[in-house]
Amino acid sequence: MQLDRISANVRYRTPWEGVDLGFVMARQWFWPLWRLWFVTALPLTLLAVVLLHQWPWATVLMVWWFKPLYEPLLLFWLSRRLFGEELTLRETLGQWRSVLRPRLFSNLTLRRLSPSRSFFMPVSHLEGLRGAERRKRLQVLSGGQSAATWLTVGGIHFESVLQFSFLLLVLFLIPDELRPGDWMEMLAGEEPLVTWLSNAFSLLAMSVIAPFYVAGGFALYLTRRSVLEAWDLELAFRRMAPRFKPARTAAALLLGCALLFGMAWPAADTWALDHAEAGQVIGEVLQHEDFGSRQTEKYWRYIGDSRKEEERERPQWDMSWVPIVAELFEYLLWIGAAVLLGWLLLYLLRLTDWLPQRRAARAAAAPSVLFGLPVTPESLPQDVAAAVAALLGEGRVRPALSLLYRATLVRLIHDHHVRIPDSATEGECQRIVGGQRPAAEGDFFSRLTRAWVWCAYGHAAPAADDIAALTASWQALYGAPAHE
Amino acid sequence: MSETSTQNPVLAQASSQVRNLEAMVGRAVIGQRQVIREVIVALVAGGHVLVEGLPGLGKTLLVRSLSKAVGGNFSRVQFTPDLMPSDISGHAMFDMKSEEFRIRRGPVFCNFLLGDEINRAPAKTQSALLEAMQEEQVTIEGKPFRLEQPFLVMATQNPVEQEGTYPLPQAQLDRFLLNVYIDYPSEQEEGAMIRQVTANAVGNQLDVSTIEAVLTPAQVVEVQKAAAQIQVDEAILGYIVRIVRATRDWQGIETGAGPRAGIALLRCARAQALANGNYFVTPDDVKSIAPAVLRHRVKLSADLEIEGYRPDDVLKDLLANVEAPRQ
Repeated sequence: MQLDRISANVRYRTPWEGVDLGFVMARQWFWPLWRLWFVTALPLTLLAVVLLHQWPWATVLMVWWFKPLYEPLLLFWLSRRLFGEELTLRETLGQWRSVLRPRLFSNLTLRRLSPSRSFFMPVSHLEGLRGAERRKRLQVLSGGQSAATWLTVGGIHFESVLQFSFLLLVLFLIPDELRPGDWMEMLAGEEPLVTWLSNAFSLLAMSVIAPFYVAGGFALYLTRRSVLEAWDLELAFRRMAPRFKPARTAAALLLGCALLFGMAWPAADTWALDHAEAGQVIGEVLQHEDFGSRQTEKYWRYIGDSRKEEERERPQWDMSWVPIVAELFEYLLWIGAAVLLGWLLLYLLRLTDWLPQRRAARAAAAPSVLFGLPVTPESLPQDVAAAVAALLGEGRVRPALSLLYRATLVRLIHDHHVRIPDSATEGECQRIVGGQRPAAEGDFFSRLTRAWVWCAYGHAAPAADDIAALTASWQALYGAPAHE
Repeated sequence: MSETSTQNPVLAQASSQVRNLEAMVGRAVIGQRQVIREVIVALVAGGHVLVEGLPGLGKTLLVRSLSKAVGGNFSRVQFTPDLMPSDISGHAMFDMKSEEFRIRRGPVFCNFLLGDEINRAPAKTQSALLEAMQEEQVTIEGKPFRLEQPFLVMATQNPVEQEGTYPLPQAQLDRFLLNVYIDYPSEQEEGAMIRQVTANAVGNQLDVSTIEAVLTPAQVVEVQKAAAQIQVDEAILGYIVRIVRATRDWQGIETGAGPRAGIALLRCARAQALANGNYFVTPDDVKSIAPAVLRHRVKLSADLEIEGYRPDDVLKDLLANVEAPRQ
């Protein structure tokens, strides 16, 4: 880090002034930061829309949850820009792997809801600390840092206000005549248009607030470090250094000469102080007011036995089993979490019909009732042709034709997987079959449909020979079970 | 297999006449098969047609062709904001010579009336035409006059230019038996149409010379009577009722179709069956004509309208979900 190249004025700041500095940075470099956020967030948003379009609320939740995925790049860009290095969008995106990888999983899970996320992010991503080192570092840095939490709280509120403002602006621009009902009802309702509009504005609000949030957290981090590490003093010394450069050379020469002469001359009295005298001189010097004053602070402290009454009397148990049980529970918790995650994934897959087996099964699942008629193979007699002939023999032409028509549908649906919706008329069935089955089958079904329609709606029974011919055709086509 | 001719000679003849009429009109109006069929269905069912489509798609040609093929009278009225009811129905004028009032009949006294851009005239003038459509008579100076039969009104609406118009209220739209959409013709049809219209033609004259009269107005009335005899099974009636009732509870439809829609659907299904050469109505007859019967009788909810949905989109969905009848 080249501190002397920092663009901001480094001085002692309170945390709130630090947040202010962050907002100034965000305003100054808003467009590059906003563009960077949008470029990173947009692919995930599109993916979420494609995958979860049936649940608009889940789309926006997913985009919101994955914020730790887009913000580190903003931080990276800011950290470089603040020290004078201006990265292009391409260069920044080129670094995504090294920037995003550190602690990504925990940032997206355990630490996602941390209110000090913006403040902790620089420690993880810029300092690259992990584990105990990181914890220790955070302990040092985060003393008295409530501003980061308030930055998060404020960010959430501003985001919501912005989102609603955008939405209301659009709703207010719709003329009264075209606006369906009250706008409050519209917002409270589940109109798809309003939901998607709200999601789009939520994305916009997130993109607007993100640069301020990241820059605010980064500035808090810088402020804290500048206080702890006295950056302002360091910078002041660095600035002073050039001014004293000639004098420093002369002083070095003088010191060299003095040392040479010192070796040649006997030691002066001033150098002859012994240890006791020196201690006295030091004590006198320390008494001077420049070295501060002594203050006495009083506070209450319990000086009795720190153990409680019961603890004192409690017998000592063997507690060695506790860590084992704790470990066991930890394993159980992890297993439970893994099972839950797996179940959620499966549930999602089932809902979205991604599993190929399920899709195939659904496609193959034939209805058991169609148009109010049972269309399962079990609902048919064993020998359809014989049953039709028997009905014809009894002079029941209409039931005979009905059975033949139904039997044909059953064969088409179950053996040949022809999908026929409930709403399909006879003509539509004919077109479906003609389009999906061989010409001979299509021709047979056309003749059968024609006979059936005349019988059912025209109340004109076809000649027995016609039905016999149709039955023979049926027997030839569907008499033996199909093997498709 | 039984055919119409062997079942009922009157119906067979009527069916043949309808199909001849359709073929004859199709000679002048290239393409637009669906539109021709729907207008003929309206004529056979004794109703009137509201046509929606952009200008220049052959609406006038269609009515003139139909008029010539039936040998009837044709009138055209351009609806404008200053059009008065008497400009349509007619009025009484004082004859100085005979010193008495004489009735001057308006353009409504014809067999085929083309009311161009009906929504450009104010409600009072629209009502005059709608009364004639409903009652089949016109009252001038308190005296009723019967209109000639057949009487078919084909009113047009331009769906694009809506500024300064008086949209027909739902109650008046219901008077039209069918609402027909005329869309752009296909590439081949458009080429054939341009070739045919411009062949040996000077100016913008519509050429209906190829049209021959295949029917007389009296025969059209007979065909209408024959259509009314078309057999309707109970299952078909149930299907019609199911469709109409479904429009009342359908998501996205604010106001569903009334019972008049069911009656209109049955009348049109009969005419459709006759045009298809059947002496009975099938579910296909009902389903194929249902969009034209229902699209002006349902009012979409505001959100669907804003999203750009048309009644046909919703009706398509509805018809795909209403169970077809099975015996």
